[in-house]
Amino acid sequence: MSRLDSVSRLLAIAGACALLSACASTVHKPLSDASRNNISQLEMRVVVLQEGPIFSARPPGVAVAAGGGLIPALIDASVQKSRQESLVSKVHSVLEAVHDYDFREEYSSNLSTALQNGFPLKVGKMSVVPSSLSREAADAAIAATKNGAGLLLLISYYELEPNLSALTIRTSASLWSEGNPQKAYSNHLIFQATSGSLDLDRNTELWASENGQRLREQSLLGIRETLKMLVLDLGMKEVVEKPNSPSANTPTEKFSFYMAGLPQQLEGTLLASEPGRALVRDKTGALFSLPR
Amino acid sequence: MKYFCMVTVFLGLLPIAISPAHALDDKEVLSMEFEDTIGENGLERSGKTLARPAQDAGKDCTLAITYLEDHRKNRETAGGSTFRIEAFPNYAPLAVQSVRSGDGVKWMKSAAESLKRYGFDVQLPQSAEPAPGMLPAGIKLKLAHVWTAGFSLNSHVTIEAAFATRSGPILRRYHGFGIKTNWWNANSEYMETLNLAVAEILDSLVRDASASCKAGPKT
Repeated sequence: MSRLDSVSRLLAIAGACALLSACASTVHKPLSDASRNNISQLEMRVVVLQEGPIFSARPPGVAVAAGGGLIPALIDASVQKSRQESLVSKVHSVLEAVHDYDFREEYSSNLSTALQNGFPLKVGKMSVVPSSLSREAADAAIAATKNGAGLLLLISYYELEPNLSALTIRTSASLWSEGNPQKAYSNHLIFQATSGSLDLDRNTELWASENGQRLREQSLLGIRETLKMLVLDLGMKEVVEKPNSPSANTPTEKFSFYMAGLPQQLEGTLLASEPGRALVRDKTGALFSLPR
Repeated sequence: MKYFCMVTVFLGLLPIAISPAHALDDKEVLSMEFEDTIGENGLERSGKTLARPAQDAGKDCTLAITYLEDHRKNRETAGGSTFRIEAFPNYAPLAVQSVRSGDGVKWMKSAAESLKRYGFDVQLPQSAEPAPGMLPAGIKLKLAHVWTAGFSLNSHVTIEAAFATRSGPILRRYHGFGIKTNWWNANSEYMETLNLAVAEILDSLVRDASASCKAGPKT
């Protein structure tokens, strides 16, 4: 996005509100067999904006509770500032422990490996970058996806939950082809690794100990699981759903998932499992890699 | 319920929509000018106010800065804004906008020069060796990261400093944090948030430099 004037920002926010309803419904647009067969050369671009793990105090939610407006927003900002001030003194040791860790480099080397091991599409160019595409550059890149070319954009975001109870890596994946501004594929891929405790002091010690070993290991696992989810999703064959077919009534299970540092239950279909981890698709089509 | 949520988010974000047009711009480079906006009262951390260094902490101390370097893994950007709606478990970044970084060395130079207000005589890097009695010191910028969280901007900056003292070299790695309300989502606010983190670092650096000077510089 480049500079927005007030009118276009208003429209963008109105669009975002429409997206909110989309979040509650489906976020998954499967890649059709025809699109998969048409793409002979894919450019893969991974955007990781951040320079280190993000840690943000729990948002107070006053603005939402009050139905919006400037004053509740200011109360929100003030409370969140105070909470963040308390949090930073705790996360200091965690950040010091992983001060030399390069998430982008780790992502890049694991992506190279994934591309050499049965990636469902032929990737010609791959990059992991810290900068966003401007609207003009994105439009031009999408328009250039002709004659078998495709563009796969991943935006990855990794954060420690407010009480450091979990590391969550959230990725939005979008694919364009045939010069079509409509996405040929999209989904959200979410990885989570938990600490097993809700206590901030205990979690700080856990993530920081032994030179941040656990955080480094779980970040690496998160990158690998994200790419695994992507491979599974992109390689999934088209299924024509019939209203009363057995697949339309796939049994669901409940899984533990942390939101804003608090445990919640996530309902979804178990797609695969291995010791200690489950790959789950929720009712919106999003994929989750969760501990179990 | 769905429409209630839509209206809620719309109203909540309205102030950003009607703000002046100078919003975060991915073409504009951050000014990389250090400015201390903490104020006399100091930063709040875990409900306590951190005292600022004494105004004469650098009295009779000459800091001979031998190097000012930018060692960031990424010098092109310094984080940015991530648009996400954290209402459901499946949320993911819907759009991102990086903030373009400027010259890290220029930033560290203006931060070093600001130490004069504590009474330090600051000599910036020059070809001549530090004169006897001066405290040789080097500064490396290691990380600069600013991000959005709700209606706030947060930042994390890491700087390494080395002091050559009579009893040997002292190496320090400092982490500073900036927190401010995101009023207009302007580039200048991202810079201000990064500067808050540098200011927190400088408070620690001033104390260490002062102690090193008192202990006796190497030269």
